[in-house]
Amino acid sequence: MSAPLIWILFPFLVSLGLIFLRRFQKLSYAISAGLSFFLTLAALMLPLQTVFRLGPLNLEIVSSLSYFGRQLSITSADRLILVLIYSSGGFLLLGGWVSRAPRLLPSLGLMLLSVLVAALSVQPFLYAALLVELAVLICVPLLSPPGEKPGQGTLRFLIFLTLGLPFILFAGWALGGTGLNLTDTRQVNQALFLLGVGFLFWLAVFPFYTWIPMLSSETHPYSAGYVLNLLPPIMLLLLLDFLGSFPFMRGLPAFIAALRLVGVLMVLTGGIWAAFQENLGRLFGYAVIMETGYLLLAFSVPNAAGLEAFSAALIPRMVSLAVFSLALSLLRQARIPLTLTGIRGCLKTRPFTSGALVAALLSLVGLPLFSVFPVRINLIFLLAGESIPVMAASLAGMAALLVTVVRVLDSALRAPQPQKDRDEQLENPADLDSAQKPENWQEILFASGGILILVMMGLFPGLFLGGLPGILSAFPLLK
Amino acid sequence: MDSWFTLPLIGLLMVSNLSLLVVNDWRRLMVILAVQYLVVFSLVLSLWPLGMAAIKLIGGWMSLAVLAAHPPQPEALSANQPPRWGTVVRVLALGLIWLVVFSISPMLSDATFIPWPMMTAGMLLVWSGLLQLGIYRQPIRVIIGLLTLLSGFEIIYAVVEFSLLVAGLLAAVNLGLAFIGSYLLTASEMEDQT
Repeated sequence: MSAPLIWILFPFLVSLGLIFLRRFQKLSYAISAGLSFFLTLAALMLPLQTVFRLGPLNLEIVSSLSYFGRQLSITSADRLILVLIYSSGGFLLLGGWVSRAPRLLPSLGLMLLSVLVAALSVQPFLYAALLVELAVLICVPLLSPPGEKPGQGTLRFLIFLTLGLPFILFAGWALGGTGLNLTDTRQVNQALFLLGVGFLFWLAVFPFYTWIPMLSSETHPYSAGYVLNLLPPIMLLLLLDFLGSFPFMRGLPAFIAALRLVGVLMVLTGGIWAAFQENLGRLFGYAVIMETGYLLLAFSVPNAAGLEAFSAALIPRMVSLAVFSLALSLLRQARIPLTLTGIRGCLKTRPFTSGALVAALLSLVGLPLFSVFPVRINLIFLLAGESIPVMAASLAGMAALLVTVVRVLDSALRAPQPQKDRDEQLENPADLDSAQKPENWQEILFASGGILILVMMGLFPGLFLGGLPGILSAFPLLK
Repeated sequence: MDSWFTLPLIGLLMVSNLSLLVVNDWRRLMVILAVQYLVVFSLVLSLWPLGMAAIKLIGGWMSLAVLAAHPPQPEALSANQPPRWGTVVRVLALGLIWLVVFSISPMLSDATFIPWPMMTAGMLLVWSGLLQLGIYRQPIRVIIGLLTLLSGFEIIYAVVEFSLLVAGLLAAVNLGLAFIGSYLLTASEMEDQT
């Protein structure tokens, strides 16, 4: 038995089977989330490359699987990455059930996880580009489910992420295929340029991020949340994987300066656009952009502390964005328009859902007591040591997002809209009943659970985030 | 590489670029794309053995078969602009692109050691694909634009990468895009599942 069989092929085959079970939603979610948690536990507990006894059987899980001379390789050092991907996938899939996400989420969501793990474990690297493209294609039916007209955001998502493929393939060839000559600066610069442009598209870096708010405002918030929660961090892990083979690149001043520039532009512009947003779906998109910007800024700190800040930020980011998208989905499910006007008075009519929305936003701002705070304050200190203007710009981005949170809170706390105005905003008269129904126990459980996790992670960061820098053991050459 | 062989092929690619922008009939579009894949195959054949180069042709034609399985409504193909002036603007834009491509291809060829004919042919398709992606908002046109762009990239990439597996996977990407195009064409008519 091999590790890629367990963590890639098996979930992929199960996800194919789940497509046929899509009408049985509870069962589909139970299987996909259950399998994700099982694979998380397996990553934590199963020994790799060691013979162990399972009842009467002696088993050994080998770390690689060869096909056509190429390898899928999952070693002991990759365990925490598997835990990160499958545990976050498991929680997100669990939330999909209560948020009434599109029926394809359990199957395609699980398939996406397995393909992304394959992209991280394939050798040589250039095959990862093709697997990422496969992941992008899998995302399209999630973002544009059957019965809905495909939106421009979904099309732009497909276009921009596909545009990254040629650049990454060329970069893979320039770096690996020809055997890079480090003394040839022209060749190194060419390879860096291709790699940089490829990741600009993949990470939706400034100025190629316009599709994110578009996508998040026109598709189901939970589907958009699932895709936008998983793709950017895994793309950055791919970049780490790539740089792991060429560690000298991380120290290049041009590389660091470029990362810092795009990171700070994403945080600043994301925050400023967010401050003027009326639509909560678009606000979610800008929050995603800002978080990717912070990850890039952590990445740009050229020492081990920067990488640790990057890895420690992954879980708080995921949790905050997941709670945000869950809250938006629950509001949408109650037929409440996802605008600042639409959520007027929601804190009284739907206290748990709006509480989760506000808590997620406060966490994303980086305020104390919430999950992002410990990693954000650490990043701010690191940036202060590197560049005061960059630190100041990051703080300005946070302040701009805080303005939005105040606007959301103000709207949620106001008296509910007059009945006449609210009726006019609803497309279907039947929606009125849904909007007036109180939250059910599942919504209360998930929303309050989300708030609790956000606060617990903020209060006890060591307990939740202490082990995360262990992810870096998969990239031993990077410092 | 013999220019007597490649120059007519580059000319054919230019015709296909132009046709993709002015034609709004589904069947004709499919025929133009089929010819375009044939030209890509012919160009790659000058570098790769027949068996490997055939992957491009078969993969491309299979993608077209998948796309052609569900013909779109006529309005799903037409451009956003009014017919006559829209066509003029698109053709002008294509003309500018040809100018740029023929100006920069020799420089890029020198910088990357990729032969000029392959670079020119590849860039013609890449830029034509980008133009389509920029002009059209209809899902099927976006997919055609992406397929065109990837065809151009594959011509250039064929010079540097000779792997059978990569060629196969790129054909799979083309097929995947075609499946997604076919899905996007029918998605709104499918049963509401949310």
